[in-house]
Amino acid sequence: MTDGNDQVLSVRSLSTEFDGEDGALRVVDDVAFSVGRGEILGIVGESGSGKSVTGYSIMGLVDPPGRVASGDVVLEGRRLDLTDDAAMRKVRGNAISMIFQDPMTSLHPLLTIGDQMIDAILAHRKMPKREARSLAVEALRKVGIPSPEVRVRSYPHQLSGGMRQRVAIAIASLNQPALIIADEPTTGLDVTIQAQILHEIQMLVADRGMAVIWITHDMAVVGQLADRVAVMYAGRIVEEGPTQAILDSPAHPYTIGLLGSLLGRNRGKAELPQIPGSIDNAHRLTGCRFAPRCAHARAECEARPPMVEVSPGHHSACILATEQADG
Amino acid sequence: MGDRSALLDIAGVSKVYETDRGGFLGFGRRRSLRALDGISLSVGRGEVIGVVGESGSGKSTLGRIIVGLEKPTSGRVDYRPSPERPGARLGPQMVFQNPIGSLNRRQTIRQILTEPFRVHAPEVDAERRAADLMEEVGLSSRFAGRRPSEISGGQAQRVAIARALALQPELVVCDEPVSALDVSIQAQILNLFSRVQAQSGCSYLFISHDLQVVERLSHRVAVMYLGRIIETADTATLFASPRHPYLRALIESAPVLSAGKRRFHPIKGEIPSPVAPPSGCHFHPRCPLAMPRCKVEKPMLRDFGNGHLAACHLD
Repeated sequence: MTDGNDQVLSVRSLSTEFDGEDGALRVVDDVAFSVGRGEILGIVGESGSGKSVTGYSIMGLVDPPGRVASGDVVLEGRRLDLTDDAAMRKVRGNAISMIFQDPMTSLHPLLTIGDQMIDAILAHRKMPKREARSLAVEALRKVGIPSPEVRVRSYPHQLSGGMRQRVAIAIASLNQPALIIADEPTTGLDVTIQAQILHEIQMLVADRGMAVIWITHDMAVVGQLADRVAVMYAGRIVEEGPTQAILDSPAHPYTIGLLGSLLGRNRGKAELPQIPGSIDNAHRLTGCRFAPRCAHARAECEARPPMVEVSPGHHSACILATEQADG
Repeated sequence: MGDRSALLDIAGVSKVYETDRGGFLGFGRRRSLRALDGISLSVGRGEVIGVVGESGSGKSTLGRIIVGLEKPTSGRVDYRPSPERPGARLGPQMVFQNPIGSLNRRQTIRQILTEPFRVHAPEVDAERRAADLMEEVGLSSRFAGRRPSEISGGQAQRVAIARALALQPELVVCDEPVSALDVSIQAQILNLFSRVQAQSGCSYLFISHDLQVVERLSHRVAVMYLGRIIETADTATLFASPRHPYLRALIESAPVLSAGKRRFHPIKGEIPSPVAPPSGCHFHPRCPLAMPRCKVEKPMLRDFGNGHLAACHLD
């Protein structure tokens, strides 16, 4: 954990619900974490884990039928009202910005990237247009776009997928945000291009000391990029701690199963270990949501397990961790 | 190459697509896109060949040509199934990346899995065989009445695999069959692919961008870049001693679990467009070891011993 002064974002009791036919479904259920200056927090999970909705919730981007049901979110000492759209509009793209999996969804197809970048600057700051344009060119140069003074006049469709994602990162960093939330930004990219993007992000963090929340399903990417990792399952953080601790000594049976099923850990083994069952209906459970797939499940798992510290800064929400802590 | 006993023998296959006329009002020049450029590859009986490549490498075009969804512009594709096998008169089968999109959404799982028998083998008890197939791929019989939209991605991929296996093909072309699946489901499906291959003795041409997936399943691997095979060898040799700078960069770029935090040192540049590929060696603009010769002269595949071929001018 980071000390109070260095803390950029703190999230407590964040819950987001989606109204459905059979009542509200909690896709994010009482989630808490924090990110410090210059820190990269990886949020890892599979489909339905709520990792992306967690990001959208902090940005105030949850649309009906979804709604943020509760949440105490503090950004650089200031409390955010996630349901106040006018207030969040001033925060988005300014103090916090977001990078999405498909940059085409966040880029306007009919405007040059330069015009979009100038708009993004002038929405939050007063300055002559010429000055904004040179800031835009500089931001493009920072993320490794060759001949940025030419590229600034391009339309999004004239760029490759990797270039568009660089542009999205450049736009996200334009107003010197304290925090960038990146939602699977390299998932659709080829590995050689992914390595370039990860490199740019590392440079930005080292350079500017901003905080990053990196949302992904890819444990290997998180392992090499993040300082700390939060593992989500069915809307809850089940384990959280320093990256090395999570990868080397995972405590929650879900994390153990997930890491155990990865190809890199099973070279030469005839059968890949697999987690039985699926995530179906897990969101309806009040107790431990992983229990139906867990080999250690027992009667006590009917109650929601609290987050318990298993080693310094490393927490797990599991009956096994509780027992270990109780001695 | 040109192995007469091989199950599949591909020799000098090229595929050129003519693009639409570009420019103002379509008066621009018509350009050609060479998706495949002289591919030769053979697949033995019971062998699993992995094909690795990034976007634009032509790996999917190769798969589509093998199953007959596309015709090659030039070159030869010979498929020689064993006459005694039941599926011999049919071609290779295919499993696609998007499992739900590759199934007819108006049909139930039962209809999808009985159709191959109704069309090609009316003498068999289709219902019974469909039930056997579902069991083989680990699908509970309660899914039989559901439609593709009512099952998960992992379950849909099981259906697609069952459908491909229905008529016992000797070769199954798998085009990125696990890349759309969650990690824990990926493990289940990869286990299924291994089991099916061991039981039926069929061959796979397994196409993926994921080195680890290909390494796990394949006996031999071919690496593609912009329409050409740039290196091929048995799996252990290829990963232990990659020769081509592109393959080395690919292995280097892939994040490895539990390596700890590290600095990424990516290779520079974009993957060039196959409409205007670089001259000589396609990789030379990005290659850290490029020499003047690489710009002008296309490197041919050379044998480095034990069938380890690489297309690079370096020794």
